[in-house]
Amino acid sequence: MTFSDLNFIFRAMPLFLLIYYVFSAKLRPWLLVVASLAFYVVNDWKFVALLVGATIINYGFAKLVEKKKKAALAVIIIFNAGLLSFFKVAGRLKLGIAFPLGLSFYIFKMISYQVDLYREQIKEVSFRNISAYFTMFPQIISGPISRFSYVENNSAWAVVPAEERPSKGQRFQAILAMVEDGLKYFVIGLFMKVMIADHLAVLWSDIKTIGYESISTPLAWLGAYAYSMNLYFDFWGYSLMAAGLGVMLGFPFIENFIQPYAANSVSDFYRRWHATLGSWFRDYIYIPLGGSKKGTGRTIFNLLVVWLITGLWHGMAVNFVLWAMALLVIILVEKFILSKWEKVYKIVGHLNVWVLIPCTWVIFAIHSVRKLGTYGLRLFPVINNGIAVNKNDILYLLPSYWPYLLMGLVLVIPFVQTFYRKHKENILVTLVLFVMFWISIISLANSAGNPFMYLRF
Amino acid sequence: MKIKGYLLIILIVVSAVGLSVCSYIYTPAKYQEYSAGVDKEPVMAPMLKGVTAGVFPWTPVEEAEDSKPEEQQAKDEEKQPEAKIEVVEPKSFTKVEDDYFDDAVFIGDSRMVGLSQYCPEIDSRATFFAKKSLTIYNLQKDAWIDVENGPKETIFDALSKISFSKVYIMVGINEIGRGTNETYHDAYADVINRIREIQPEALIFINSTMHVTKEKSEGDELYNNGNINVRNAALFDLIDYQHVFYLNINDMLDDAEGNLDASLSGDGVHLKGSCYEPWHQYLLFNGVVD
Repeated sequence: MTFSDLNFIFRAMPLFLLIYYVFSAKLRPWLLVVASLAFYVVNDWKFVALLVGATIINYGFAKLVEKKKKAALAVIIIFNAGLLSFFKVAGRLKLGIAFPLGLSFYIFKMISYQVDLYREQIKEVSFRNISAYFTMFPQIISGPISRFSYVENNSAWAVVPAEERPSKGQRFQAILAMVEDGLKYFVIGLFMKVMIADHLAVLWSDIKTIGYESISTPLAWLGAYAYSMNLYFDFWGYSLMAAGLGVMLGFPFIENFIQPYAANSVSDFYRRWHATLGSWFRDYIYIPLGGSKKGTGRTIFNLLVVWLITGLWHGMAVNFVLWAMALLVIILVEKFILSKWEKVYKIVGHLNVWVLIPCTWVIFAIHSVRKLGTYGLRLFPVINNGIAVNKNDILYLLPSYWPYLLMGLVLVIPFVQTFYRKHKENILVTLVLFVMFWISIISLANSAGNPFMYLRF
Repeated sequence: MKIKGYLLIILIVVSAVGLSVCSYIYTPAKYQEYSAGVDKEPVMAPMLKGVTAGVFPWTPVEEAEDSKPEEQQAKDEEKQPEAKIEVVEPKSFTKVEDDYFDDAVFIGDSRMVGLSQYCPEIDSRATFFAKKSLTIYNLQKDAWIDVENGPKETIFDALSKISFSKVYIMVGINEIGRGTNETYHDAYADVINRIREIQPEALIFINSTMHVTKEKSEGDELYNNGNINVRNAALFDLIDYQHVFYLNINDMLDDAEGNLDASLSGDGVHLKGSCYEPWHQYLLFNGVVD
């Protein structure tokens, strides 16, 4: 059950919200833990014991780390990283061990928690709060990777003294306002995922169906952009749904995608793309390694380490390493060469984002190096490797997909987000969101559990 | 309380409740075939699916096939050919050249669309009426043929305007999971009868529904080769080797285990753009010449 499951939207989510807000602020964190474990059981019951076990072990070590015991910190970091590495490697070696749901995301949270605790950025160790933080269902599948302060700032968990407590009516209004605000983010995310990402995924699938050796160069480029948008709206949409759910539960809004395609360089792009992951790598790997403060050679080495881990974290396959190394090269060129010419950098930086980033997503998408080579030559046909290429193929596909491509292009424009933030209380904007919600739901109803329309050939 | 601040919640809750009530009331009469059961999906889901398919609460319910008026049934029976006494020599397949397709029409789903896009030898000669997601049911019911400067028309209207000597059909993959073998057979028979009424001299070639790859077949409860074989076999009694022929194209496209050869397909279901030649060759080796 994911957030874009009708049973989640119309059954699990409203039911949980009702229960959550019927009970007192004190009990809400525990309710979230129970609901999160139930959510995990529904999705991946085999590994719920691992999640619970890792939470308890991390709690135990947190008690030691709180007392500034460096060895305890080292052991728990090695344990957490080892757990993640074990499952990643086991998957790569095809040992028949499945990858636990959300392992990457809760392990990253566990590491950040222990380090922040050691750095005294966390005041107290509370089993209730860390259980809620590690297991919370809005973030368990795909993040965002929030920091512990996210949990500490939950306004619905604040226990207010009786004399300062607002009236029941005021509290009810405050809850409704939070749910309304979160629901809006959720609806926008749902629309992005269902109406843009899922439809553009079909275009990318059509290209695979044709076979990379038989696509024309214009279609290869369309494919690169369609896949880029598919990935962006799938991930951004899901992050918005997760963030919206968080807001509904009283957490602050967490921004995971900060207009990445408006970035002025590839380095800037990755500060805005999956920002919570980028900042995690920065704070817990790059800076502890010395960041950019220890000379050029060391900076290059540190970036190499970060990008190598980023690549392997996304998947233990050659294409992910290639993807990461390609980005590393672009970033190094930007940082050490292009940055010397400010005016050139401004133009080339944007071009890198708009042209090179989609090419790097192609590397990310195609796991076979041979097929990657084929696609690469269709993008840049320096050698004609086409077999049975239909020069008009793009014209066959565009009529079916242009509305989704157009919607994607519109939503990439930073102004749209600025406009929404400025006018999100406006009735017309709310009505548009209402329409977007039902369009998404109708699309979902017709694509899930309906054998007549789910797969259409 | 400012309603404006909670408008989205109110609108969604009210509309969801309203749709659920409507769906609950109308599902038994209108949306039963769209329902997966309340244990699997929210109450409103069948209605949302039905409305997307053009079935509104006020849409009249279609009469079932077996509830045709008696008069019509009698007429249908009259149309049935009498028992044949005369033994007719079956027409046999022979090798033909590409110009054989000059007066041919190809009708089918996305796999036929692929043939039109990646087999220029046929596409440059024949007419294609093919559409992604086409089924034997909507093939005959819907107006889906594009007409320049006009509304879409049905396949039968389109066939009435141009004379063809050969009609190639391939559908079947999208129908799996929908209806029964009998309804599939009957719908196919209806299409063939209508085409024969419109184009009595045309040779009709039923192309077997193409298999899927082993990986796809083993991982899919619905779209697997067992189900495809059952549906293909359901059509055998439509063949008369005089006007209606069966082309088992899987003979040419399968691997040794009877699955679509994985090297020919990128997604397990369709042929890759570069892999339509075996199908083309099969058609060339299986022409029928009077």
